[in-house]
Formats: sequence, C-alpha cells, structure tokens
Amino acid sequence: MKMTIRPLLRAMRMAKLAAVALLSSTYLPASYANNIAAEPEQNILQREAQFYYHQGDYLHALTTLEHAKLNGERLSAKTKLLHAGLVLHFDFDDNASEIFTRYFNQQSAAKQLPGAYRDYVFFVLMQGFYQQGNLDKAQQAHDMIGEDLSPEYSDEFYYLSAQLALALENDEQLARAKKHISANSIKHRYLAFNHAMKALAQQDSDTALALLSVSAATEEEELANLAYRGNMDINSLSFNDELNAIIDRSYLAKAYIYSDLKRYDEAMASFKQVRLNGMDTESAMLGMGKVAYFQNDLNSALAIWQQLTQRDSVSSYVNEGYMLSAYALERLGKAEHAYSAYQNAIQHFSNTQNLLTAELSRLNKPGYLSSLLENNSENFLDVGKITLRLPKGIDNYAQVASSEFQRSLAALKQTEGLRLQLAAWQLQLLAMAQRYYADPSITLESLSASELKLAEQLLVREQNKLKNINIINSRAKLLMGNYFSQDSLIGEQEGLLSAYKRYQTLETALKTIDTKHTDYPILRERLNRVAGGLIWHIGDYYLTAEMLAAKHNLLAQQQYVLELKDRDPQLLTKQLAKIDQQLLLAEKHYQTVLVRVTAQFEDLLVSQLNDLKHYITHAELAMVRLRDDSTLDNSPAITKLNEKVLP
Amino acid sequence: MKFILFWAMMAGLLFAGTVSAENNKTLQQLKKDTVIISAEIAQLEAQLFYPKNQQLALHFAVNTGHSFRISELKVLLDNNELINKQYTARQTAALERGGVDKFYVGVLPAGEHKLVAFITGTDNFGLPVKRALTHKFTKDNQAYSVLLSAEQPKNLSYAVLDLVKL
Repeated sequence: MKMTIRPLLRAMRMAKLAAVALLSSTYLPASYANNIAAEPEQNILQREAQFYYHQGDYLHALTTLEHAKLNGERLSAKTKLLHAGLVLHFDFDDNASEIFTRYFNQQSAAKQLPGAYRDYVFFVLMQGFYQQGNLDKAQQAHDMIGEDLSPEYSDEFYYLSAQLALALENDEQLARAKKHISANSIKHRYLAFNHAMKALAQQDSDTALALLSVSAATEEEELANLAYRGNMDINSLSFNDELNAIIDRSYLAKAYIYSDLKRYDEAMASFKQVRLNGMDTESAMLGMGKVAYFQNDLNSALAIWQQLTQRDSVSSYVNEGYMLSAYALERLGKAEHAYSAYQNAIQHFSNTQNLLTAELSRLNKPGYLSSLLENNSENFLDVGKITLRLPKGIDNYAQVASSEFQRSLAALKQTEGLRLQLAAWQLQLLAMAQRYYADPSITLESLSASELKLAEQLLVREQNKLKNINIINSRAKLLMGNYFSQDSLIGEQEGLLSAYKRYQTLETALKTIDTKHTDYPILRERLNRVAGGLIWHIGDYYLTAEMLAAKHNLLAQQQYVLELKDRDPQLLTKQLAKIDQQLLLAEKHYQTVLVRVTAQFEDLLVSQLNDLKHYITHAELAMVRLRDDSTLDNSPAITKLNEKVLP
Repeated sequence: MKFILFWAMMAGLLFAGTVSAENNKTLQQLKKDTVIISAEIAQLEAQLFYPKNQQLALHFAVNTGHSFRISELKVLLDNNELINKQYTARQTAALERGGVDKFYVGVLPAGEHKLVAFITGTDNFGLPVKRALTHKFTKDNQAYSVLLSAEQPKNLSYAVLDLVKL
C-alpha cells in the first residue's frame, strides 16, 4: 500500500506545483493575472496614501485611504494606525483612540514597523492627541517614538515633548527636550515663556522672571548667566516679527510681575524694552504710567498717559489712558486742564460708542461675521490659524483671545470650509456630467431630470461603436487565412511551446492520480482552465498585432457596453443629491455656530459699551465735581474711579 | 497677579500652534461624511473616465535607501512624451519613506505599445545618475498598471530602474 500512495502524493504535489507555475505564466488569460496582481495593487493604493502622508498632505492621504476602503480593500494594521493619526489630526473621532490603545498594548507589533515609518506615525498621533487635550495618550505616543524620526521634525517633536513635560510636570523630559531643540530655534523662547506662565500660575515669581529673561534675551552675555536656557544660542539673531513679538511679550510680562512685586525700577526698565510699534505697546505705555504713578512721579505718569491718548486706537488701554491723564491733571491741581481732558475723554468715548453701536447693528446682517474671518486654510478640514479681522473700535484682547471664543471661531471657519468645498464639488460634478455625457448644456438643475435619458443615449452611442468594431472584425476574419500562412511558427512561440510542454507534464501527472481521489475533480477542473487559457493564447499568437489590437478593442468595448448596461443610470444625480444633502446639513450647522459666535461677539461689544458708559459717567461726575470746586481726593466718585482705573 | 495670569491664558493661544475646533459631534460627523464624499467623487471620476478595461496607470517608487535621490522622471509612450515630472525635496523624502507616486492615469487603446522611462537624480556622493528602461507591452481589454521603481540590487553598487506589472 505504501508503495502506491507515495507516487500518488508525489504526483499530486508535482501537479499542484506545475499548475501554480502554469497559472502564473504570462500566456494565461488576463483575468488570471489580475487575480494574482490583486494583492500588490492593494498595497499600492495604501502606499499611494503614504506618499501624500509623508509630504504632510494629510487630506489627500485620508481621501486615498477612504477610496481604498470604498474599493473594498482591507487596510493593513500599519495603515490603520496611519489612518488613526489622520482622523486625530483632523479632529474627528473615529476609533483612533482604540486603534492606538491596541497598538500600544501590543508594543511588539509597533516594533515590527520600519523605524522611520513608526516614529513618524506616532509623532502624528502624538500631535493629534495633544491637540485634543488628551495628554496621557499624547505621552504614550511620545514614548513610542524612537531614534528614527526624520531630523526635519526634530524641533517640532522636542517642543511638543517639552510642552507635554510642562503639563505633566516631568522635569527630566523637559530638560532632555530643551537639549535637543535646535540652538537657534525660536521654540526655546516660546517654551521659556510658557514655562514662565506655568510658574506664575503656581505663584513662583522668581522662576517666572528667570524664564522670561530667557525668552527676552537678545545678547549672548545676558544669556550666559541664565538658568533654563537649555541649548539656546542667540548668536546672529535675525529680528523678524515673530521674534520681536515674543521679546516684547516677555518684557511686558516681566514688567507687570515686577510691578506686582513693587520693584518699580525694574518694572520701568522692562516696560522701556517693549517696542513703540508692536502689539504690546499700548499695554506697556499704560503700565509704565502706572509705575510712575506708584513712584509718585505724577508728571511722568501724565506725560506717558497723554502720549498714549495720542495713539489712533480705541483699545481699552487707550481708554484708560484718557481717564488717567485727566485724573493725573486733577491730582496736579490743574483743574482747568483736567476739566478739558475729561471733555476730550468723553468725546473719545462717544466716538467709540458710535463705532461700536454701528458694529452691533451690522452684526446681524447676513454674511457680515463670516466676512471678517480670514480664510487661510489649506483645505476644508484644516482650521489653519484663526484670524478675525476686527473692525476699528473693537478691543481685540480679552474675550476675542479667549479659548472659548477661538474654538467657536474655529468651528465657524471649519463649517464654512465644508460649505465652500461642497459647493465646489457641486460644480465639479456638473463638469463631470457635461464631459461624461458629452453635453455642455447640462445644468445642475437639469441633471436630475435628464440623466436617465442621457445615460440611455450614451449606451446607444457606445453600442453603435461596438457594431462598427464588429463590422471591421468580421471583414478581418475573411483575411484570416493569410495570417496563418504568413506565420512561420518560430521565435516567440518558444514561450508558448514551453507552457504547452508544462501543460503536457501536468496532464501526465494527473493521469497517475486515481480518478476517485477527492482532489481529482479540482485538479481536473484547474487543468481544463489552463488548457482553455492556452488555446486562447495560441489563438492570439496567430493574429497580427493589428488583429490582436482589434480583438482586444472589441472585447474592451463589449465589456464597456455591458458595464454601461449594469451601471446605475443616475449615478451622478445620486452623488449630487448626496452632496446637496450634506451641504444642507453643513448650512444648518453653520447657522447654529454662527448664532453662537454672533452672540459671543455681541456680548463682547455690549461689555465694551458698558465699560465706555461707565467711563463717561465717571468723567461727567469728575467734571461736575471740578465745576463745583470740590475736594479732589475724598469724593466717593473719585474713590470709585480709583477702584476702576488704578491697579 | 490676576492681570499677569491673563497672559498665561494668552500664552497657550499664541505659542502652542493651531486651535482645535470645539468638540462638537455634529461637526465631527460632518467632517467624516465629507471625507467619504471626497473619496466617492474620486472613485466616480475613475469609474466614468478611466474604465478598468481601457485604463493605463503608472506608478513610481524608490527602494534604494540613500544610494539614489530622484529629481526627475520622464516617460515616453509610443515615442510621445507622456510625463515629465520634477520631484520636490518633500516628494523625494516621501518616496524614500515608502510612498508610491501614482503619476499618471489615463486611457489607452488595446494593442502593442512602447513605454520608455528615464529617471535622473544623484547618488550618495551627489554625483548625477541617469537610468532608462524600455518596456514593450500589449494592452489587452484589461487595465494596464505598472510600477516603475528605482532599485538597489544587493549585488550591485548602483541603482537600477525596474518595472513590474501590477
């Protein structure tokens, strides 16, 4: 018995091997080859997404992955992680968190990924989690990043690592990050500033001041003695807006801390370092005047505040400047000048009131608020930097800068981005319909009513093309005899003959297998298919190139006509309806967010108007008092005014 | 101190980068569905204009480590220039990290065709490298998709240009 089974098994193995060899032969029908190629093609689409991903074109990467999913492809574990990073980046929850946790719990799986790929994927995840405020997960992603992150992301990574360390109070990580941020990177300053703010929140003024000295430093000798400098170097500084802004902000913060600590000389020195044409100039001037006031130098305080009122601005700093300069004149005993200064202040406040009231009335006009938003997003999912072009008259600090207001603006801007994109896709779809049906007269309105007819016309056109090819083909068949006689059956037929030889080997092997064996029918069937393939290709071999092309064009057209018959004749209409529906939802959400942002904006204006009303009341009271020649310092109105305007 | 702490609040906004939109389920769902629509449009476009049985798709990849940096890819189809693409540093880096660039998709009638590809770049010494490849093929009634790739065979010290039918 053993003697009979062994050859049978060997023959079966041989038959299977031969079948595999033959099936992968290039002489087999293309459909076989397609089945074999299916797997690498799937990888190609996912690698295509990686091409965009590694360029930072996350929207394209995400769309390509969704396209792959629509094609029924299964994303590999590696690609799923990449996908998770993308949805986190765009701030919409899928199951990114779960995928990450699964990977994190199976660290060995992550270790199998190529180093550079793994580090970048976890870097994107870390950014996404940090952006969402999920610091623990951001730290976990951070810990998965090894030594293979591309150097171009190094500064960003270590800055984020330091920010995380600050938030999670991990001094060791903070020190390590500082060592690795490029010596001349501005991120050292941002980090020192943010660290200072954290120290300040913990009532640690000394540390805050030391850190602010780092973020403000402009000379190497200043830096030499400073703690917290990390790897920072300031040789060959090039002063741009960004650098100037952080230096100003650092000096301003230092000045206010010194002022709070009653170290007035140091406060004054720091205020003086703030530029005269920066974002913080008005705040610095107001503070400087207050420090002079605290030092009992009323004349200097007056001069500074008067200078502040000369600025063409309606910020709260300038408003305070108006009140304080009038008050200083009053304190200096210059009643007449003080009276006229209060009059000026009232005039200024009234002008600002008019501006704000006009703004309030414009606020509910359609599209007004969105017209103030600057659209610098790269794509419809990207929030970009939120810029609200504030009209003159609006104090742009406080509420506008608040996290709540900024997040609402981001939502507004993003929803607007969605609306714009969907509207653009409507037009794209229209262009596609016009091109596909070769009819430029189609409009968005007419498409849904006419697509059935258009699809029918297209099918008839393509069927006619098929008929024409059939005519050519049948004429060509008459000439077939010539083609056979012209062929010498040498040269390129070798491959074909070799495939035929392998087929014969397979036939022989199959004959040695018992026909009752369970595998026999399967092997028989496969061999028949192989034979079919060979016959097909032998047929092709005897055709000339032109005839072969004619045959394939005919088959392609046949397939296309069949596909058209099966194709939904309202494909574009349905896609358009989907876009319309989504546009409707986006529009609805936009209105909801708009109402909320408008209300916040309205609150902001009303609160500014209330402040102005308050100032006007007190200025008027002061004027009455000055007219009545009352005592300057003891009146309840002045006491109230002191509470309001003086620190 | 209260005033100064206002700066603490500001710091996060000014120096921590972009602000994420409010955590709103409606907005998240809108974004998710819009991404799917974007993919559907791409799929629809391919289906309508590049039917599988007429499609020609060309891809490019780099598997050379650092021994070759691509700067230009040129492809001639049947002696006519089909594509002449300059790669940016960012695209080159993305290719080196395993990305595949689908640089052409179109329709091609059945029959015999000749594709000639040229790649230009530099080796790890910064010296110019040029490689070319000719590929004759018969387009039948199925999609024809190929992957051109710069390869670094183990037994060679220089990169070669390879082509695989997908």
